[in-house]
Amino acid sequence: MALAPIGLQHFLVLGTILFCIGMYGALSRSNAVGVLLSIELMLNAVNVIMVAFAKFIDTPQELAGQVFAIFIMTVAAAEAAVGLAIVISVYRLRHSIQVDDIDLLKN
Amino acid sequence: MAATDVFVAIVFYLVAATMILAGASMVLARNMVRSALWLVLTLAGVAVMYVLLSADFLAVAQILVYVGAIMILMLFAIMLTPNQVDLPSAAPQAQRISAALTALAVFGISVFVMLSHRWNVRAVPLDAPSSERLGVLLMSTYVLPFEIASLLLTAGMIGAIVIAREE
Amino acid sequence: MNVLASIPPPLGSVLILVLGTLVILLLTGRLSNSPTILATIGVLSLLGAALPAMGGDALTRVSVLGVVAAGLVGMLLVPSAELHNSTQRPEVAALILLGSTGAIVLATAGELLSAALGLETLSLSAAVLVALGRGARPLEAAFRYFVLAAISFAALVYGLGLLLLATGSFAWPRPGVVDPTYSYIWTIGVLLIGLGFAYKLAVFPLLWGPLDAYTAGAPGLAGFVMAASKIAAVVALARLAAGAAVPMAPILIGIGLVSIIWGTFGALAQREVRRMLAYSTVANAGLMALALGCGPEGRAAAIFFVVIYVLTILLAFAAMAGRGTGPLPFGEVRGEGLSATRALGLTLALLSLAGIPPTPGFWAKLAILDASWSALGFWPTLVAVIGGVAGVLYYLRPLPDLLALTRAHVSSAPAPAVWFAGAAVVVLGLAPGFAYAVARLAIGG
Repeated sequence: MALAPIGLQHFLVLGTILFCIGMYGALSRSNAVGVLLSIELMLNAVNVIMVAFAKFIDTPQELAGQVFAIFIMTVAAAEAAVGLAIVISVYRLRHSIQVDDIDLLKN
Repeated sequence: MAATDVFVAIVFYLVAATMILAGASMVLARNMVRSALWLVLTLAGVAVMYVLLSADFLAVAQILVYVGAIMILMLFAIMLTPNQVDLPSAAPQAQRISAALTALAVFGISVFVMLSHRWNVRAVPLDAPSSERLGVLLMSTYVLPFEIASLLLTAGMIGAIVIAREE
Repeated sequence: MNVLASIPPPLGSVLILVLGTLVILLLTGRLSNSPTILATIGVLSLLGAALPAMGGDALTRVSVLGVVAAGLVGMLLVPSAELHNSTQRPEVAALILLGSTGAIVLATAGELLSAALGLETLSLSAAVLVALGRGARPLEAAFRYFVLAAISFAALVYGLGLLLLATGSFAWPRPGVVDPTYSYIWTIGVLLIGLGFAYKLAVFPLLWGPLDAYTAGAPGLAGFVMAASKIAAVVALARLAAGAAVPMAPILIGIGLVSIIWGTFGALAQREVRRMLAYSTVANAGLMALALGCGPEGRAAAIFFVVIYVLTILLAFAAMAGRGTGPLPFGEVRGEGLSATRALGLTLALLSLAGIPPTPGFWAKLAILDASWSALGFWPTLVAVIGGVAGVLYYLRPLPDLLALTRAHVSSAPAPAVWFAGAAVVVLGLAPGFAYAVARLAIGG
């Protein structure tokens, strides 16, 4: 294992570990910014896997994985901007960004 | 093993270990500023991985977009919510345990599938710098998604400005 | 001339909408003080966007016209929308146009990468439109809507990656093109993509964010978000189910049945019109999901249903627009002082939602029950029938108060959005066969 040259499986396992760390964070954080940070990590993990596919896997469309990664990056940037703007506005109104506190619709 | 393979292996294992440790610290850190800085380290590691995967354009874009822009935005958001930085930032224990179990289950299934599947691996891995071909693809095959992404960014930009603007 | 002729129809619509967005954004400073001109520009670009779609196939026509109708109602309500900051009307109009663009792209895109980007454009615009409503509730609703949208989009992206892996391209799934060794990766990918689309439809496991958004947003904007999302989601899911019936159809049927039951009980428990409408939308989404799983006949019924449902719900939201973002309890409907036009519009909308015979909602439900009967037999259809009949119990509760209001002489402000949506519902009630024929053509059945 340690002597095998670095190949597809190494990157896949790394990406999966990062994805699951991010997933744990997104589900367990109670700070809204913490949730957004974790979602960023998940998207990056998917990107690593996609770029690894582009390098190692034989597909009809060359580089599709890298193209995909560029678009995910774009979406992540737009999502981060809107998400943080909403978080800051919520903070202005309630002075809290704990996810559990953002729940007044229940009543 | 050739010398470059050894070099790549050393870099991969060092950076991967750093990324996993930094990622774990990111989700566990109590202080949000520290959490964000751990994520910066992880995302920089992703850029190194892109270099190892011959994705030169993506490596540069990763540094510029994530480390340079998105993380600065995150840090601004953390600084603008002052009394929220250092609260106990994890959910109740029951939720943490179920989150951990979900993540472990996804991890187990994915790793099993990924390692047991017989991938259709190329004879020669992609090796040359890929920026040029990537640019051609974005302007030909993928020109429609490329243009729609610009609409997405416009919507995001307008949205962020109108929501965050104070009267 | 040749260049113009060679632009595919949905792309022509997208270009016109983008042009309208640009005009509004360039004139933001001037338009923020003249809402009428703003709405006129918006309406013109939406009408313009409908034109190129006429040259397209039936699916393009249905999706573009449905989204344009949603956009028109939203746009007509922009001058009276309850915003937190009323100088932001031009941005709201621009986001309606961008959201419509996203919905059109999601429904008509030639490959899944564009569709995913269209979906995200729609999601972001929708979250912002909800967030801009007056008060704290819309903002918090938008936050929950946004977080769930981000998570379900991550699932969609993961699924798209798996599909790319299994087939090597971003094309819509088709039966029989996948290498058998990749078939389970392909299946998981298709299901995750379906999950991402289903979030826009607001079916059972993915409903908390949309539910809050429909309840708390400014009525006109919430109506647009709901209508545009549902049209695009049903068309996209129909295309997905057409190409990948094997994993999609049983899942859609199961999710549909659970949603019908859950949404019906949820709506029965409500004491307030807007929250009741939000819960009942889950039951209706369940009917559509059920139909989507019933083969080509069912998919045509689902498209027919969504067109009628969307126009009806737009009428309901248009009738409630202008009265603020707060709840409208059943007991206080009479004291609300809705004008006769609005009360009449809301009455018509509720009758149609309940599926009372001459209204279009009746024909829509009938089409779905018919498809479900011939494809699935007795028990699933029984659940759908009970869900449909139970609608009478909750939809008609505010009706006596509304009828009293139609006789009251409250001064009637012009309500173009109510007139537009009301006329559309009446026309569909008179000629349901036409819409059904178009829906069948769209499915290619």
